[in-house]
Amino acid sequence: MAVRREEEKLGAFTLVRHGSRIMGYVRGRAWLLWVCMAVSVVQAGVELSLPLLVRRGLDAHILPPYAAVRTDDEGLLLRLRREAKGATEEVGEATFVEAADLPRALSEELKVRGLLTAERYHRLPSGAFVSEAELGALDPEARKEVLQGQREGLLLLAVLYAGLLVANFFLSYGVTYGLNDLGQRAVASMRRELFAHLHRLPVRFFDENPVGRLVTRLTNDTAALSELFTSVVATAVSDVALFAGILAVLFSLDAGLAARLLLLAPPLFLLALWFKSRSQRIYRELRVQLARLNTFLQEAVQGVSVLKAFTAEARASKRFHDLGAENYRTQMRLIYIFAIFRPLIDAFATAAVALVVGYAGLQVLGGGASIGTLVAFLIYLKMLFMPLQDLAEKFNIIQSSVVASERLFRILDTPEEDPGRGVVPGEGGGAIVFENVSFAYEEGQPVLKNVSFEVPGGSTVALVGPTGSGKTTLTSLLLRFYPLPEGGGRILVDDHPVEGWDVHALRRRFAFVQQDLFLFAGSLRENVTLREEVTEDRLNAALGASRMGAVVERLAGGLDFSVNERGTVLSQGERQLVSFCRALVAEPRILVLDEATASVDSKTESLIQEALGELLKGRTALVVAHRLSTVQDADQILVLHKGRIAERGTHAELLESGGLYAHLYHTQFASPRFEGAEG
Amino acid sequence: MDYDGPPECAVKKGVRDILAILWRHRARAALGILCLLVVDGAQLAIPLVVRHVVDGLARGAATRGIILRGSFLLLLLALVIALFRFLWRHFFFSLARQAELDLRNRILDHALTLSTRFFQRTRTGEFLALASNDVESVRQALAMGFVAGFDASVYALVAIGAMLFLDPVLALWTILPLPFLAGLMAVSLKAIYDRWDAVQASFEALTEKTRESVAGMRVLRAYDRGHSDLADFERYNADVFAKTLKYVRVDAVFHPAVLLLAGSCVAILLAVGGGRVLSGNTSVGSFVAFASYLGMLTWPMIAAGWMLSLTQRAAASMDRINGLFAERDAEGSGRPVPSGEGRRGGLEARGLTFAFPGAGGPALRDVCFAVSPGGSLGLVGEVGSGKSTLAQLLLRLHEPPEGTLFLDGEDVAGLNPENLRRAIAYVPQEPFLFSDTIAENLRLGKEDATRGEMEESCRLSALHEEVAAFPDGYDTLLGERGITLSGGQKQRLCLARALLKPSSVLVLDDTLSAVDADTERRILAGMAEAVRDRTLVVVSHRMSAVRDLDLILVLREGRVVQVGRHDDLMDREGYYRDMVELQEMERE
Repeated sequence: MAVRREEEKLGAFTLVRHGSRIMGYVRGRAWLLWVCMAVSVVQAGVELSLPLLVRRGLDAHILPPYAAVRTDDEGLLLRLRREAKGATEEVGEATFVEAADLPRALSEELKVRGLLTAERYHRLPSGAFVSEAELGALDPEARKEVLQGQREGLLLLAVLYAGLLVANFFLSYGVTYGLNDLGQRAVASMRRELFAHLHRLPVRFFDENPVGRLVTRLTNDTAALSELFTSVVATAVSDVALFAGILAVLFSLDAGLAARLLLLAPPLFLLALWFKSRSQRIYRELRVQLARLNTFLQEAVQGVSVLKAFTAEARASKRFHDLGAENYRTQMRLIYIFAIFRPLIDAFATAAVALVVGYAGLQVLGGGASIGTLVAFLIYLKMLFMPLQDLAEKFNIIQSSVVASERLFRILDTPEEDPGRGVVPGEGGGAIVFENVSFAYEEGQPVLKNVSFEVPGGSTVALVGPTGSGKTTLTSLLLRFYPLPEGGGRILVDDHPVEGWDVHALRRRFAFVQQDLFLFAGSLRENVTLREEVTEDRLNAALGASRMGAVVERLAGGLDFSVNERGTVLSQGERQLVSFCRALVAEPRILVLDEATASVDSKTESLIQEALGELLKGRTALVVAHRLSTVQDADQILVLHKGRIAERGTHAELLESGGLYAHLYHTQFASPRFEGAEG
Repeated sequence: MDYDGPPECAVKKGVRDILAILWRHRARAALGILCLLVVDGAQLAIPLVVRHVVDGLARGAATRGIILRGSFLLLLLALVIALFRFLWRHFFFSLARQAELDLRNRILDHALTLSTRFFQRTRTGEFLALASNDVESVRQALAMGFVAGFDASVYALVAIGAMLFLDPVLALWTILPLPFLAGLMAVSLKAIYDRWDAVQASFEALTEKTRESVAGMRVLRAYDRGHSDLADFERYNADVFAKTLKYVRVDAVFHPAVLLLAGSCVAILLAVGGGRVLSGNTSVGSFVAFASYLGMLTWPMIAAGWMLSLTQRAAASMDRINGLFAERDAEGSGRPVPSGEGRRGGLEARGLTFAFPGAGGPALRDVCFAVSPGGSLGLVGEVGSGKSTLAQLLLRLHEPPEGTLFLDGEDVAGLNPENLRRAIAYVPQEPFLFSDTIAENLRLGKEDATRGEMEESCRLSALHEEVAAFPDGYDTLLGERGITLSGGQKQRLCLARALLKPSSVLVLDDTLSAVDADTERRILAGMAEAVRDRTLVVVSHRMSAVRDLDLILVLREGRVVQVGRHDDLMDREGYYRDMVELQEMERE
C-alpha cells in the first residue's frame, strides 16, 4: 500500500521533472504552443457565447422585447436611463426599456421592489407600447410591421451565430493542426535524438537490451509522448478555461442557482475518487494478466515444436483458455465499475437539470428569473459536464506519457561510448600490438587472459581455437567495441593505444567482416557501399577483387538488386562475398575477418578462396580462420584456448609440434581425408 | 469506380462475420438493445418535460405543482437512465469480451493444428498482432461500433421524428444541413482512410528501419557509418512526419465540420424558428425543445463517423483473422501407432533423403541405419551436417518421405503424428521452457507426475539439488517475472522433462552442450540405468557422450561418412578419432 502511493507520487513528480525537458523538443516553436493555447481559450469563449445568442434571441426578439418600470423615484429612473444600453421611453407613468438590455443588478433590484412588471410589451411604430394580448387585437398590417423589426433582429442574430460558427470552425481546425504539427515535430526530433544516441551508445548496451525493446522505445513510446501535445497540453487548458468560463457565466446568470448546483460537486468528487482507486487497481491486474497472456501466446508459437513433441497441444490450449477466462473475469469487473461510474455521472447531469427546472422554474414563477435564464442554464449545464469528462480521460494519457518519457529519458541518459582522446595518427603501416590483454564481460568469468602478440604491418595473423576460446572477443576489443578495463593490458594500433584514438578514425582504419553476415534491406549497391558516396572505379575494382561481379551479373537489376534483410535470396556463400566486397570498398589499412562457418557449395567455395587472396593482399590482417588456405598462408597462427594463447607459429611449425593445432587441423580442415577413409 | 470492387466485397465479408458473432450472442444483444431503447426513450423524454414546464411558465399557466412535478419526473428519469445504461453496458460489453475470448482461443487452437511449416514461414510478431490488435479491433466494433451506430440511429430518428411532430415545417428547415454532413462524410472518409493507411505504412517502414539499424549496429559501428545511417533514418522519420500531417489535414476537418453543421441547424432555428414563434405557428416551448433536439443530433453525427471507421477497421481485422482460419496446412494424419505393449522402440532408416521445402539441396542424403528396441544410436558431425534434422524427422516435426523411416517396422510417414510423439520423448537442441513454474514445466512430460517422480527425474539430470536450493523449490517461477536459469540448468530441466515422459524412445539433441564434460558424463552414466529399456538416440558434438552407444553415425553434409561402434571407429583414421583425440587434449 505504502509502496503504491510512493509510486504515484513519483509519477506526478516525474511529470514535473520531465516537463521542461519534453518542452525542450518544441523549442523554436514554443510560440505556436502559446498561440494554440490562446486560440483554444478564445475558442472556448466562442463556444460559450453561442448559447448566449440563443438566449438573447429568445428574450429580445421572440418574446415581447420591452419591460415596463413603474416608479416615480427620479434617482432610480436616472440610473435606469444611464445603465440600460438601449433607449428608455416614458409613456405615462411607466418607463419602457428593452428587457435584454437591462443590467442584471438593476433588474433584480426592480423586481424585488415590485417595480418591474412581469408582463412584456411590444412597441408600435406610433410609439405606443402594447401587451401581447393588445397586439393580437390590432389589425394584421400593424401587427406585421411590429413583428418585422423583431424578425430582422433574429435574422441578424442568426447571421452572427453562423459567423461565430465559421470562425470557430477555422479556429478549431487551426488549433488541431497546429498542435499536431507541434506534437509530430517534437516526436520527430526526439526520435532523431534517440536514434543518434543509439549510435553513440557502447556496444555492451546492445548486448543487454533486446532489439525489440529498443525499437518499441523509439517508435511507440515516442508516439505516446506526441499525444501529450495533441490531446493534453492545449486542450486541457481550453477544458479548464471552458469549465471556469461556464461556471462564471452560471454565477452571473443566477448566483443562487449556480451555488446550489455546486452542492452536486462533493458527491461527484467522491464518486470520481472511488472510481479512480477501484479502476486503477483493476488496470494494474489487467496489465499483469495481459502480459501473461501475451507471453504464453508468444511462447506457444516459439516453442510449438516442443508442444508438439510432448503432444501438449490440448493442454496448452486449455491453459490459454484458462488465462483468457481469468482475464475475462477481471475485464468484467472493470466493465461493472465503468457501468456504474459513467451512468452515475450522467445521472448527476440529469439531476442538475431537474434542480434547475425545479428551482429556476419556481424563481420564474415568483418573478425572480427570466425564462431565458432558465433555458441558458440548461444549455450551459450540458456544456459543463463535457470538459469534466474530457479532463478525466486526459488523466490516463498523462499517466502513460509519464511512463513513456521515463523510459525514453533513461535511454537518453545512458552514458555514451568514450569517443577517445581524439588522436588521429597519420597513415601508418597498420601494425597491431596486444600487450597482456585480459578481459571479462562479467566479473569473475575471464574470457581473455594475459594475451600478447604482434601483427607487423602488412602481415596476416590467423586465430584458431575451439568455440568459446575468445577469438571474437579479441577482434571486438581491437575495434574498441568494449573498453579495456584498468589493468587489462594495452592494445596498440599504429603505435597508439586504442583508447587514445578518435574512435571514428580508429574504426575507419579497419574493415571488419563479421561472422554474422548482416545484409540490410535495400539494393546490393547500398549494402556494399553502406550508403556512402563511392566512385564507380573503386566500386568496380572491389566487385572484381571480391569475385562479386559474377554474382551481380546473375541477379536481376545487377547492383540495384534488392535484398531483404535476412538475405534469403542470396546463399550463405554469396552473402560472404557481399561482406568481402563491403570490406574492399572501404579500402581499409587493416582487415579483421571473422569467417563465416556455414558450408557452401564447392563453386562458391573456390570463389571465396580467390576473393580472400585478393582481400589480404598488401594489408594487415587478423583472421579468425575457419578455412584451410587462410590458415596455411598466414604469417603466424595463434591457437587460442580458454582465453590464452596455447600455441603460436607457422602452419608447418605447428603441424610438426603435433599439439592442439595439429588435431584441430585434422578434424576441422582436413575434411577430404575422412571421405576417403570411408570409401 | 471499378477498381473499388474487390476490397469492398472483402470488407462486406468481414462485416458479415462480425454480424455472425453478434448473432451467436443474440440473446444478450437483444437484451442490450432493449435496455438501450429504454435509455434512449428516457433521454428523449427529458426535453419534453423541460418543454412542458417552460411552456407553462411562458403562458403564465405554470403552478408550483407543475414545476415540482416536472423536476421530480426529471430525477426519476435520471435514475431510470442510470439503471438501464448500466444494464446495456453490461450486456454489450460482456458480449464483446466474450467474443474476444472466443476468437482469441480459436486463433490459438487453430494454429496448434497447423504444421511446423506454418510457424516457420509466419513471424511471431505477425501472429501476436493477429491475436491482440486484430482481435481488439473486432471487440471494439462489437462493443462500441454497433452500439454507437444503433444508439445514434435511434437518437437521430427520434429527435427528427419529435421535431417533425412538433413542427414539420421548422423540422425540415433545421435539418437542412444534415445531407451536407452525409456528403462530407462520404467524401472525407475515403481520403481519411487512404491517408491513415499511408501513415501506417510509413510508420512500419520507420519501425523496420530502426529494427534493422539496431540489429546491424555492429556492422555500422565497425564501418563507422553512424552519420550516414542517421541521415537515412531521417528520411523515414521525415516521411512519417509528412504523412501524419497530411492525414491530420483531412482528419482535423472532421470534428470542427460536424460542430459547424450541427451549429448551423441552431442558426436556422434562430432565424426560421424564431420567425415562426412570432407569427404564432410554433410555441416558445417548441422552440426551446427544438434547441435541445438539435443538441441531441450532434452525437449521432459524430457517432456515425466513428462507427464507420470502427467497423471498417474491424472488418479488415476480421479478414486477416479469417486468413488464419483458412490456413489448411494442417499436420498430416495417419494410422494410430499401436499403443502399449506393441510399442517397443525399434528404429530404422532406409535410404532416407530429405530436403526442406524451398531449400537448395537435401539436408539428409541416403541415410541408412537400424536400432533394435532398447538399443542406442549416436549422431555426431559438424554444424549443419543434418543431425538435428534426423532427430526431428523421427517425431514427424518435418515430413519424412514415405518408405524411408520406420518405428517398430511401421512407416513413420503413415503414423498419426500425435500417437507417434506420445511414443517418443524428445529434448530439443534449443532448451525451450515456458514462463511458468519448474513443476509446471516438468508436467509437460507427464501431466499427472507426482512430486516424487519429478524429484527422481531431476536427480537423474543432476538438477534436483539446485532446484531444492531455490526458495520456492519446484514451484519457482521461470521467465521474465521469475528467475532466469543458466544455459546448463535449462538444458538439464529439459532433460528431466523428457525423462519424466513415459516413452519407448528417448531423443537427446545435443542436450548437454552447456554443461561441462565431466557433469555430462556423470549424468549420462546415471541415466543409462534408468533408461535401459528405452531406445536412446543421442545427438552430440562431444564424442564422450556417444562413446558407449550401440551404433555411432558420423554425418557430413547430410551423408553418413562413418558408422560403427566407438572401438571400431577408433581403429580407423577419420573424423571420429580425430575429434576424440582433440577433445581429450582440450580437456587437459
